[in-house]
Parts: sequence; C-alpha cells; structure tokens
Amino acid sequence: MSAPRAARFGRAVWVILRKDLKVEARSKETLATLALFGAVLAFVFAFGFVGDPAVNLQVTPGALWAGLLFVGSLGVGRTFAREQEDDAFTALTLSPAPRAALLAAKALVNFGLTAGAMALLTPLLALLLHVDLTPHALPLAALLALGAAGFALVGTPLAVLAVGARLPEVLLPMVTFPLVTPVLICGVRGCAAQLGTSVDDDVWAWAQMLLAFDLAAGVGAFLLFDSMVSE
Amino acid sequence: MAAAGLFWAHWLAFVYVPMEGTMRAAQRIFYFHLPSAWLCYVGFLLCAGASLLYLLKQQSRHDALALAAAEVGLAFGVIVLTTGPLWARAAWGVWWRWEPRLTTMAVLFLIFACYWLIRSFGGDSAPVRKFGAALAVLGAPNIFFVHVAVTRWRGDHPNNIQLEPSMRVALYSTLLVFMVVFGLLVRLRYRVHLEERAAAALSRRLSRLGA
Amino acid sequence: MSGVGDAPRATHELRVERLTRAFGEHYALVELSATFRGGEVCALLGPNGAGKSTLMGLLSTLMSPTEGEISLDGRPLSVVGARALRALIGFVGHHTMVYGALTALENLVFFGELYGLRPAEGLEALALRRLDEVGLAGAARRAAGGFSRGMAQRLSLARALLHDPAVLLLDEPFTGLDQEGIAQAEALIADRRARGAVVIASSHDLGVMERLSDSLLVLRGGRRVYHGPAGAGGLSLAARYHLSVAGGRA
Repeated sequence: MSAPRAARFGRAVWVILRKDLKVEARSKETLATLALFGAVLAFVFAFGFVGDPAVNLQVTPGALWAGLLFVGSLGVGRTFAREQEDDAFTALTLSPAPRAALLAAKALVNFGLTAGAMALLTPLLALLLHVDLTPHALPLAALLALGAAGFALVGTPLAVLAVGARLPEVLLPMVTFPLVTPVLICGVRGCAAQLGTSVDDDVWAWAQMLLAFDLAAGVGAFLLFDSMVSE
Repeated sequence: MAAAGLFWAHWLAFVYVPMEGTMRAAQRIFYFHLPSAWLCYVGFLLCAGASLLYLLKQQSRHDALALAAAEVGLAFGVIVLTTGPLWARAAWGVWWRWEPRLTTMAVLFLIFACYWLIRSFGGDSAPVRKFGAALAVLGAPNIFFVHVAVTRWRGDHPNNIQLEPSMRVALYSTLLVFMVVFGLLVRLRYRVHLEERAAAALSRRLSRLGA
Repeated sequence: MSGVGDAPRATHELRVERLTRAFGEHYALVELSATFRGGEVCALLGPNGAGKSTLMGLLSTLMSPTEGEISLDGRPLSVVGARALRALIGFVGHHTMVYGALTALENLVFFGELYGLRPAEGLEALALRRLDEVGLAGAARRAAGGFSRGMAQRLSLARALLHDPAVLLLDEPFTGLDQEGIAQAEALIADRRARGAVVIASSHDLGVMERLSDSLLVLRGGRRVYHGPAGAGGLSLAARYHLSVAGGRA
C-alpha cells in the first residue's frame, strides 16, 4: 500500500470509527443491551453452576467464554442493525471510501463493544460465583481481549456479507460459532491453566495460539474482503 | 461398475477379513469409517479450493463445483459421524470423546452444514454465493487451528495401527471403491448444478425474447 | 442560490451500452443503450417494475450489471473501477440513508469526511450552506432521528449534493416534501443542471417532472420504450409517457 493510499485508508477508518463511537455514546443502546444481557447470563451461570468453591472455580472459564461468545455475536448483529435502520449502510457503500476501511472500523467497534461488555461481565461473574479473580486479572484480561479480537475479525466480515446477501439474521451467529471454535478452546483452556484448574499450566502457549488465530483471521479477512464485496 | 465395486467392498469388509481379536465385529466398521473420513476431508478441501477460485475469478462453474463437493463431502461426513460413535461405543465404552480428530471432524462438518444450509435457503444470488465461498475459504484453514488446539488439549485416537495383510487389502479396496463413488457423485452433482444454471439462463433468454 | 460558482462549469456525459441486469431468471433491465448529457435533466419514468430502480442501482454502482457497460466522460466503469465513479455521484434513494442519532450537521460532516472533502471554507461551513439550501438551517443541530419524513428527505438531498456531484441520481426525490420543499428541490436540481451535471430523476409526480425535465426515458418491463426530448411533437410529458407505455404494451 502506497503512503497516500494508506493515509486515505487510515482516515476513512478513523472517520467511521469516530461516527460509530459518537452514535454509541449518544444512544448507549448497544452497550446497555450488552451489559444487561451479560448480567442475565451471569445470573443464569450462577443459578446453574454454583456449588462448592472448587467447582465454582472450575466452571468459571467456561462461563466467561460462553459469555464472550453470546455477547460478541449480539454485538456484531447490533452494529449492523443500526446501519440498516435507515439504510445508512447503503450511503456508506456508495461513498468512495475503501471497503476494507469499512471492515476495519466495524471490526474495531465490535472489538470495543465485546471487550467493554466483558469488562463488566467478568467481575460480576466473579462476584456471583464467589471466586477471587483479582490475582489473575491481567492474564485473564489479555486472554479475553485476544478472544474478543478473534471474534470480531471472524464475525465482522461475515456480518457485512450477510447484510449484502440479505440473509436471515439468525443465520449469522450460527455460522460464526463453528468458525470461532479455536478461540473458544484456546480461551477456555488458557483460563483454566491460569486459574490452576487443569493439569496444564502453560497459559502463554494458549495465548500464542489465540494470537496466531487472530493474525490468520485478520490477514484472511482483509485479503479476501475486497473480492467478497466487489460487485 | 460402481455398484459392483460397492458390493465387493462390503463382501471384503464383512466376510473376507478375519475377526479381529479385541474389537470383534465392531472392527469391521473401520473399513467404511476411514475411507469416508478421508473423502469427507477431500470433499471439503475441494469445496474450499473451488470457492477460492470463485472469489478470484467469479465464474459460475467454480461455484457449482464447490457446491457439489460440499454436498458429497457432507454425505460422507454423515457416514463418518454415524460409524464413528458406533465404533467408539464398542472400543471406548462411550459414544463420543472430545479428542482432536472427532472434534475437528465435528466442527468441519458443522461449518459445511452451515454452508449447505445457506446455499439451500439463501436463494441463488451472487452475494449468497460469495457468502458461501467466504465461509468455505475461511472455514477450511480454521480446521488447522481446531486440530492444533484440541491436540494440545487431549488426544487418544487410534494411530499407527498394525494391520494384517488381508485387512490392508480390504481397507485399500474399500478406499478405492469409495473414491470412485465420490468422484462419480461429485461429477453428477456438478453437472446437475451446471444444467440447472443453464436452464435458468435459457428461461431468462426466453422471457427476454417474449416479454 | 448561493451554490453557483463553487464548482467548475464542466459538462459531463454518462453513457450506458447494452446494459442488462438479471435477478435469477427475471430480467429487470434488458440491453439498454442511452446517453445522458450534462446540463440536462432526464426524467426516468415507467410503471412499477419497469426497471427504474434497477437502472438507478446500476448507475450508482450499488448493483453490478449482468452484461453491458457504463461510462462517464468516456471512461468505462470496468476500466476505471467503481470507486472512481462513486466520488462523482450524488444519490437520493427510497431510504433517507441518514443516522438518526446524529444531528443534521453531523450527518453531513461525517459524509463530507468520508468523501475526503476539504473545501476552502471548511467542511462545517459547507455543510451549513447545504442545509441552508434545502431549508434546514434552523434544524442543523437537531438529531435527525426526530425529523419528519419531509425533513429527513431534505437532509438526504443535502447529503447527495454535498460534494457537488457530476452525476445526480434521484429516485423519487420529492417523497414527503411539501410544496415549498418541492420548489426548493426543483431550484437546486436546476442549479446543478446549469453547472453541467448529469441529472436523472424518477418520480410519479408528472407535474414536477414536466417543469423540470429536458429529456424523457420511458421504461416498461425492463425495456426502453421511449428516449428523446421531453416536449417533442407538441405533446406534454404526461401524454408522451402514457402514449409510449401504451405503445410498448401493444
């Protein structure tokens, strides 16, 4: 990418990102929905799993990552529902801004929403399941951030395409879930390793695998995105 | 010929090979399970490859091939996922185990089941074809990650199995027969899709002349 | 009108050749060849399902043609790419395509930034001028979500005109507008015509189209049934339209 093209790309990403953040800051709709949804999830997990403290610690990774999966797919769906409301997405695609900039901005928004919702959900889960996550805060946050990035990088291009193909909205999470299986496995195992609930204690290996997945998903999405949306 | 081949393969698997010591009759499933699993992978890989070609060149025939390969791959996947648990029940005492190959196969099957679902119910427009192609292209390398992840997690699938000569004959024969059946089915479905599209194009031309 | 003079007076030409678009087995547009000259308003008319929206979609690059070619000023779309054309198009469609959570001004500034506009007067000043032109000066800092359909339509028009497009595609641009709004929109369209823009407008309001258009393109069943001067042969636009639609049916 030449320097002026890169600058134009970066500017378009920034413009769309700032617009989305402004809309979000004003309506607070998506973040509020996600936070509330996260809270409901936390209660469901608490009702379903609470046992003795050892068991609670064992189910924590699973609960966290199931939460990430649900919150993430809800967020991906929401960011596009807003674009479709008055068909503003059409105006975006009508503009000369590069399509890949659209993807990058939307992926960043989705990442931010998922990460934000998880930042609320994680302490709530810890509270309800009576587990103390404070000694593990940083590694857990890093793992969850890598997972949220992977989810955004896989879910966002699929959501853009689903809007274009006018696919029913229910199909989107269904298609996304199998594709993010590696994120789930690595995330859950990594968390378990960190919390010391599995024989394996190599957190770094799982984080590396998450990172590798994120990189591969990112490269794949951006390489293919232009040919996916090009008419 | 393929029918005769199938008959021969069944005869080999059920009559020709000797009873295996520990697994008894359940071992015979293996002659169908393993070739089906390989061909299922071949089908999905073919679908991903053809989808990539379609994304790059936008030619209808690549998409038709991708769809045909996914359909046949799924058919073999159904064989794998039914014979697998039957064998697992006899060998391990449980129907399912979360070990690398089972999980990889299940996830791969799910991805291409989604592909097939979207292609069946999403209509046949260019954006839907592209969505399917993107799913196949992103889904196939995904499997590498699933496999690596589950391998780190756990693993006890039979590996490096020692086979008696007669068993080897039976395995390679069934594999060969299944490969022929696979090729025929993909070619058949590919042609059906091409014919359907040709018919659609023809009726378009007719409506264009007659409107 | 304050807009005159802020863009060079260049006459453009939009040309389509054997343009065809199929949806599955249905042909929405069949081998349309036509030239749209700058400095002219072309009325695009036809009964429902005639292919008007399809033609608009193809010209706006939202859809891709099944066959055929679009070229602007002699440069074919298949060569220069859709993005080169997008920067030169202003589009008003069935939906208003604005963000309800943003104010009218923020909407325009956002799209201006997305188009990479850097006017000497500043983007905000340009946006305010456009809002003034469509009669929304008083509502510039109100959230577009609270707008009536007519006000949202004015905002949509301001968005389409923001970057002084060489090609103006207007699909039912008068939806929801009151008499004053229609008059303002007409004046704006006439102003862009005077500056050499290609204007293609479709509307069921034949009275407005009669006043506004120089040429007429009538489609029926995806085919062209008339393309020529709007007032040829002493016929009114409405009479010419009804005659060509009826003729096409025979």
